[in-house]
Amino acid sequence: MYDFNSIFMVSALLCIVYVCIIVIRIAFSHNVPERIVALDTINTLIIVIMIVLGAAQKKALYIDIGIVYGIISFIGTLYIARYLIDERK
Amino acid sequence: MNTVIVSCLVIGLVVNGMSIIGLMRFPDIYTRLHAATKTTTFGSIFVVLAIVIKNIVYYDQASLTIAIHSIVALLVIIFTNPISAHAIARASLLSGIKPFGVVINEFDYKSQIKTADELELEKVSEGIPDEDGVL
Repeated sequence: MYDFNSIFMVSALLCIVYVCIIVIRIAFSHNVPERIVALDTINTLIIVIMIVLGAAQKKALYIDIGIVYGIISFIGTLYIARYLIDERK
Repeated sequence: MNTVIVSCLVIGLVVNGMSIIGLMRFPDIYTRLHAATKTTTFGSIFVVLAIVIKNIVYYDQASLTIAIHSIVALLVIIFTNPISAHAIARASLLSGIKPFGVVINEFDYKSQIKTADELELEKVSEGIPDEDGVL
């Protein structure tokens, strides 16, 4: 029998390393939509991190936090896209 | 069964890591959207699949709650990720960012739609007669 709690913790740490690499991508982008693409990827990875952490520590509350974070970040991304279109006109 | 769970988890994490390579190496926002959005959706499906299988095989008190809630979170990812990608692509195209290496933007309709006067001018300059046979 594997120790699945440790395996899930290690995979959550790997996803946190991914997020740190994308933050470097945001810092060296040239214009705003490229930064929004990287930010959207960070949001998806954070939902995955919350799911894996909730499965590792056997707490469903973390997964609920991931669901609410996903919905709010979706609204934020749509609003930034709308702002880019309106700013151009 | 342990092998199935660990291989699903590894597939999910490797495919999530491919999005990092795509974000770092691709030259353009549209190609980066192609790399970032689809790989994260596919990888999240496999990570959640591994967690659901683990909670079904090793059943205890909290596992049913964790399985159902992680499936709901996966549904949130699947529904919101393509919509936000489409919104970002449309916004960047409408704000005037051309794809990499492209000279003419074919989706810029406003510069391609011609008014009636401009069409008439083109006919005159090319020597095409109109309905009455007058140049």
